[in-house]
Amino acid sequence: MMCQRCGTRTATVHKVRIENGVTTELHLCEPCARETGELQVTPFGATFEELMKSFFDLPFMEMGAGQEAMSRTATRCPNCGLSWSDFKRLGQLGCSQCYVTFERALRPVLKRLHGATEHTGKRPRERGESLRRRELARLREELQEAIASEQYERAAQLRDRIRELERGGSDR
Amino acid sequence: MVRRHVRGWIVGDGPEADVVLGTRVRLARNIKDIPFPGVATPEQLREVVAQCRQAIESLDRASGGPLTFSRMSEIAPLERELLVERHLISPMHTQDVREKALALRDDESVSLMVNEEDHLRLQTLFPGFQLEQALDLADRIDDRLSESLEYAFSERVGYLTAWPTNVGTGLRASVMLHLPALALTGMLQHVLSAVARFGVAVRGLYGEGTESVGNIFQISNQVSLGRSEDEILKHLSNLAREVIAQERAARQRLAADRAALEDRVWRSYGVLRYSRAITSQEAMQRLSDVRLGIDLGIIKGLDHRISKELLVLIRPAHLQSFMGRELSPAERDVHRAALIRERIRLQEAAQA
Repeated sequence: MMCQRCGTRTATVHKVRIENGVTTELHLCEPCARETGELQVTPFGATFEELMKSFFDLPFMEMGAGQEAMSRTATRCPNCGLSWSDFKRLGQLGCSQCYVTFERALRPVLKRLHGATEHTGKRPRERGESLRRRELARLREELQEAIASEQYERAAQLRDRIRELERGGSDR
Repeated sequence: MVRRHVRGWIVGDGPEADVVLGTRVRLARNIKDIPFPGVATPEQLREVVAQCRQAIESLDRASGGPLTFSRMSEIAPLERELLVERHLISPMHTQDVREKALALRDDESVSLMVNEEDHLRLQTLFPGFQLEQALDLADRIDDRLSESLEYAFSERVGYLTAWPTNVGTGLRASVMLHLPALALTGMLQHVLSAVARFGVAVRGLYGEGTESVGNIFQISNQVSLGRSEDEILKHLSNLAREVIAQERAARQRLAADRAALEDRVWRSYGVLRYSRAITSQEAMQRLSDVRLGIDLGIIKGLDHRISKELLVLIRPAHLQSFMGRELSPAERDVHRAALIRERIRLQEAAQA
């Protein structure tokens, strides 16, 4: 079987994809599979970064982001000055703001790299949280003492303060 | 600041030590709004160093500290190479060192690179198969650092990194495997390409772009976005366990032709024990055979940990540091052979 993309080499990469109930078959030779990003992982060949670079060299029409990403070539990140074509050349972004500036153009890139576009893992602790944790520990101790010594009005105040701190703070 | 004697994951043994040499977890983090190191100005990079230094120096023992903080420019070039050979820093971190820094725990189980490709790359290294432990320690350090550093983080795509390949969790977990029996039985390529289809990268001992020597391979996760840290780890762990099982099965098959295996192992032992000059490449292959021989009970009176330690000690920077001077490649081969002979003799004398 010949490669569907170049039509000149033998297809060695075969993939079946099911999207919205429609099955598509893909038969590519290795160079074309690399170029289209269908062959993402090779044990001894190209690194992920190299593959990603070759992926950026594709005509944008094939990327799915289409014309829209092209028109973004001129856009620069207001924070660091990086342009989309700089990114394509370097493979790296310039700063955290770039993820906002190029959000729409990046989405298909992330999808291709990770098979996902949304983070589901850890979040940073809110700053000052350790202070809040220490404060909470102290208040809980005081609450126990207040209950033990039957100072119920004080205990109620402490309980309200603890609830307030718990609501306002931790994301965990 | 760099100790001459190796320590940490290189000398120790951990779970599944017959196949797994070590485990590494890396988290990539950046500071909000300051451009990433590839784009930032020297002033901005100095600001990153200052902020990171303050955060890192506040770490206590419970949160991964205490760590020794150094500017890379204060570390001599040969010492930087020692750090690379011990996997504590990347080769990239030894170049253009002006605004780069390093924080290292005394037992060499934690290293933090400042201004490598991201502002902060936090690594934990453990002997044997200890993914959960390595992530747990990295996680605690990260939590504490996030109390004083304002990380670049987005609700949608997570921790923001210079390479979009690291965005999301910023997590890269790696397991370093010794797979001599898969190599000898011709199954290696098959097994590694099989696991590679499940979204893990397979690399040689010294990371990206390095060839595999001494039958040592690292497998690590590719995907960092869209899955939680625990899911990423679980997936890698399952695949690693599959490779470990395949390697053990291959060792059983090898043992069926005991005579050929013993011949191979003892020939390599002979070369290491008696040769007067040996290249790094050959030494690593012979050390692999000898480690296999020890693990299969063919060689007795030697501890297999000697092979992992020697793997690092015979590298150029370690040899030159050991000899206290620069060595030409030919001199290195001679001193490498002498070092290996001495190590084996010492250990045999101690165990006899």
